[in-house]
Amino acid sequence: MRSDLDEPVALRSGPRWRRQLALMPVALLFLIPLLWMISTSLKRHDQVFTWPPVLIPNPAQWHNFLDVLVKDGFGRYLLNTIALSTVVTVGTLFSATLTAYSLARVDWKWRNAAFLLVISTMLLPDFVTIIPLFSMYQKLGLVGGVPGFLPLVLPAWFGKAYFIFLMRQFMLGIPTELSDAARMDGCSELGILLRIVLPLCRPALLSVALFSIIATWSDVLQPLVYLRDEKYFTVSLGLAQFQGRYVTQWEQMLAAASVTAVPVLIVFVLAQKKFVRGISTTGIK
Amino acid sequence: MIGLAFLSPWLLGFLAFTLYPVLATLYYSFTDYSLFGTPQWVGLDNYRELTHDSTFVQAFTNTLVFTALVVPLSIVLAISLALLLHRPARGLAAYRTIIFAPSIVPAAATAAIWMWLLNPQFGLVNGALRLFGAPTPPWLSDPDWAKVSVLLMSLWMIGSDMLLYLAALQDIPVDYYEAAAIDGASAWQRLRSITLPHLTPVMLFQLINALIWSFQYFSIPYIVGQQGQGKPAGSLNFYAVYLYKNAFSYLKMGYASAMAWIMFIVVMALTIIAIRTSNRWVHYAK
Repeated sequence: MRSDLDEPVALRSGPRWRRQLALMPVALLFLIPLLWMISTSLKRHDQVFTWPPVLIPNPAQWHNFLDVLVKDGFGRYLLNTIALSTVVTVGTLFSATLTAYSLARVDWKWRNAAFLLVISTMLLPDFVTIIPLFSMYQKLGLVGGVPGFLPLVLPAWFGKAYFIFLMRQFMLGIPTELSDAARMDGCSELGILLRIVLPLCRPALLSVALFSIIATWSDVLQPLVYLRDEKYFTVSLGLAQFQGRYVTQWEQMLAAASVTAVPVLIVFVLAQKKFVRGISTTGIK
Repeated sequence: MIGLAFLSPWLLGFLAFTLYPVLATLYYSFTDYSLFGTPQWVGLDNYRELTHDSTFVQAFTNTLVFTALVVPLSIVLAISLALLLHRPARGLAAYRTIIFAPSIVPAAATAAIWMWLLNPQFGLVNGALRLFGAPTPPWLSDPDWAKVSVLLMSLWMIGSDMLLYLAALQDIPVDYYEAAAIDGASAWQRLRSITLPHLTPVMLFQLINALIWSFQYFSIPYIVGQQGQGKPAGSLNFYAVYLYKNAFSYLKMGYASAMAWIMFIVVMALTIIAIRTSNRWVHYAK
């Protein structure tokens, strides 16, 4: 972060307190919903409906979380989601690295055409493919139960365009001298990828992993279609279905929302810099 | 050859998870297919039926109305926030974190949080409005206000778009501003003739993204409209929600496939229009 002193003339505007006066209320508008989620999740049921509202519940009703995790099954959903995100993310890293290497570091005839094809799949709505895929998985017995996770996992292992694009952009920025030298010494392409390029790709791999985890964590549509059995729900699907069941149990619903949102928020805060860089270089969410 | 070898996993995936299903959806769209049994060829019947289906027309209109609202508002809001967060200030990093954070909150959690905030009697929003003596909208129980509610949820999650503009702002050479300051340009003139032109490539990107995304907007209208019922009064019956219902609740796979192809064509057409007209307003730095 730059200090105020080397700030260019043109960017200066008004005294410091005026900037705080503009920033503070805007930030509060974005922050209050999250704070309110936590506050509500720790209230007694009767405190939820009082006005003026109870801001900081005392004593905090931590058992709301226990109820949600144990009784409503969110503990299980959390484990399901962590397992699913892990397998999806490992697959994404594998496929994105291989494909991006081909598109960024190997010279071959159809490379540009292949890159255009990869990019064009980004414009394709998921809804255009979901029906035949569902029909195919249904025939293979891969809908519902543990097999229902396969349709959620498989595509990641074969590569998603967003992640391939992100990895490619990063790999293009790595100098070619090292790999050229290794090629002279008779190192295989796979060897170059594993020993030279991959270690330099650490920041990009981390960005891809973060986006992949968050995308899997937040998805509602695919789990809704393939995970029919409540035992195998993800947190997002569990929360989506929860809303139909307990309409007035707001403290429970917001505890469930916290269980869904807080893990990704923690991951984000821990890895914020990598995250921001990933978005800025590729423009993807 | 080695390039193709490295690409082969993706190519296999492309054939199985993209090319085959895109073509199969097209074929299904001309059939009557309930998942059980074989698809029966019906020609253009599905497409013809869609034009008479008032729920489809409603879903299409809802999505267009929502798109027309959300696209310009999110562009204006993302740019304003980026401008606000661009200038150095004490605690700037924290402000950026706070405004960005909601964009990674899972949609299901966003829906839960805002359904509670917008609760007509006990919600924080109406409580605050009452404090100022302002009228208190019925939010999610009224068809018009329900769309505004969903709009608020989208705008709350604007952070990642804001970040793109912030990155673009940081790339504008400072000399431009210094030259303009010497020439005595006002803040408004600097914004109009330096800042905004430099942001137009990002605007085009955000525009295309938002167009593609709004037709596929599913999680929040599905949840807030009570498991895809589109409540209240069909107001949240969005395109993707109705497509999902046809495919997976009514098992009208052929019908839903026709909807999917229409979605595909509309999204493509809008993208092409956006790109074609972009040379009139998008400025690329030399």
